[in-house]
Amino acid sequence: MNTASRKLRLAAACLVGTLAWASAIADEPSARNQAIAIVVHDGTHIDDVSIDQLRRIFLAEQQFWPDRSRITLLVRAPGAYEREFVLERIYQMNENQFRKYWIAKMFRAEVPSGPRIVFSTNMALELVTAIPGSITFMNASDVGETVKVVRVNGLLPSDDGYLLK
Amino acid sequence: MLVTGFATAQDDVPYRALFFGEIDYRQSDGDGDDGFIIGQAVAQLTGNIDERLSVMTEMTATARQNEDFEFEVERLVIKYDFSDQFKLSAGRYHTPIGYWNTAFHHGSWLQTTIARPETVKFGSNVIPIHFVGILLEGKIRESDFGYRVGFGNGRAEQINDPGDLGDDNDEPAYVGSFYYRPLDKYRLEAGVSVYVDTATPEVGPEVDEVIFSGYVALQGETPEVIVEYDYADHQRTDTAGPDGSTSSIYGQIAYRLSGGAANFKPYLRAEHLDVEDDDPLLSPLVDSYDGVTVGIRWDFSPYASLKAEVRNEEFDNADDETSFWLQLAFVFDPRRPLGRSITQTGARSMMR
Repeated sequence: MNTASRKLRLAAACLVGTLAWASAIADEPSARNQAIAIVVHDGTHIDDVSIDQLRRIFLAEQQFWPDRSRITLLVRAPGAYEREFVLERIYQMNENQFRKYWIAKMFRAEVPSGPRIVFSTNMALELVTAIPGSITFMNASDVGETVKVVRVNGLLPSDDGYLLK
Repeated sequence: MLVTGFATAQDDVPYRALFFGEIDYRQSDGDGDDGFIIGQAVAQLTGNIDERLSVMTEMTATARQNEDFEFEVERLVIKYDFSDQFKLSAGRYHTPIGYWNTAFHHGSWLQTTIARPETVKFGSNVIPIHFVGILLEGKIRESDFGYRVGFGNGRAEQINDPGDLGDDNDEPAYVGSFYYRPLDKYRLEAGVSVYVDTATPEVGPEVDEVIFSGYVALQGETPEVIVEYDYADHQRTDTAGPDGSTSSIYGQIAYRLSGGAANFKPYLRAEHLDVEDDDPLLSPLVDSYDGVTVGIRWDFSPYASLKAEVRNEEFDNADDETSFWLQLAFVFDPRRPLGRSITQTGARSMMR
């Protein structure tokens, strides 16, 4: 009886695990099909950036907004699809090149620090809401009401021709 | 050693640290001891005092034969960022002449090769490696162009020193550089610089010095290309003897392999240094030089590499030398922010 019970519990655990795995697999393609939104702190006086300006900001070649407040860059930790997307499309670097770029940037004393690393979309949302001058990126469907989505080359993530899809 | 810092939202400590280190092995047919060599250890700390004011210090420990390690403050800079266009700082810098001196300097892990070019090697007399003074730098409007201008003490009596305790001859040195860094995937950077000083060396006549430098670098790795040219004009202030000049050029090419060999990067560098016999400042101190370096770099970790290279070097007043080198170089981040979990509680406490 005990053996049968253990087998039953094991089978149930396997079923739950399989369903969770299948659910994660099913979610992945939809996440990867999302447009990536560029999100800034609500008080940032900017509504539209060009793709070149966006690259300049993410490469820390531009470290101040036009109102002269400092830009705080929030970047997802390795492993997130959003990070892979931004490294490929904006930085045009792989993971190793990205790390080396920031180490070199700090070594040259061109930046006082590297980007702040965030480990989830919720954390990115919380921090971009809380830190004036901050900018980050996330799936367009994850954007909350407390932050501002900026246009890229005049287009929002929902528009046709948006570059970060 | 030099340690790096990616800030995390968890621990919003207002400083970042980088440690660089290296261990070398040398086997040569020339003079000098073969065997293992403890390379320079470097610690760099950068801190934000407030949103615009930051400080950076870089210290090294260098092994010396039959002596204790030598500890030195290599850089000490306090900087105020008015905007992207105007950043004003004071302190001790890597002189912004050419490319290598500011791009890599003590960070052996950052540079592809083991050795630095002869012109910018440790203790070089060819260009003033360090500079003590003030510097204004920034971008030109919102373009891909940038500038650095500054003035300071210039060379000390021992001309590879920057005059840490004042200007030896009360003739300030001026430096200016201009660079172009577009947003292309090859990460091109090109620049020119000029350095003007009056040098009063321990031995030899006082000399008016003007250094011109130009470089082109592709900082991406497919390919990586660096070409740098330096020309130093030296004129005696007493006109009692001949004037002269020194010029140097090096070209380096490397290529990051692909697929299963993506951690490997072979490289080649050729360099030429020509010191005129009449150069009143450098001819007593520096030999003309030709060198070829061939090697390969293996990045076996994101933060550590093993390099192997062969150098053939010809000196004007010494025997040719062929040497084989190995180097284990690394950069270390004591905070390991990318390998640590973070909690929302931590994020909230940081935001308070």
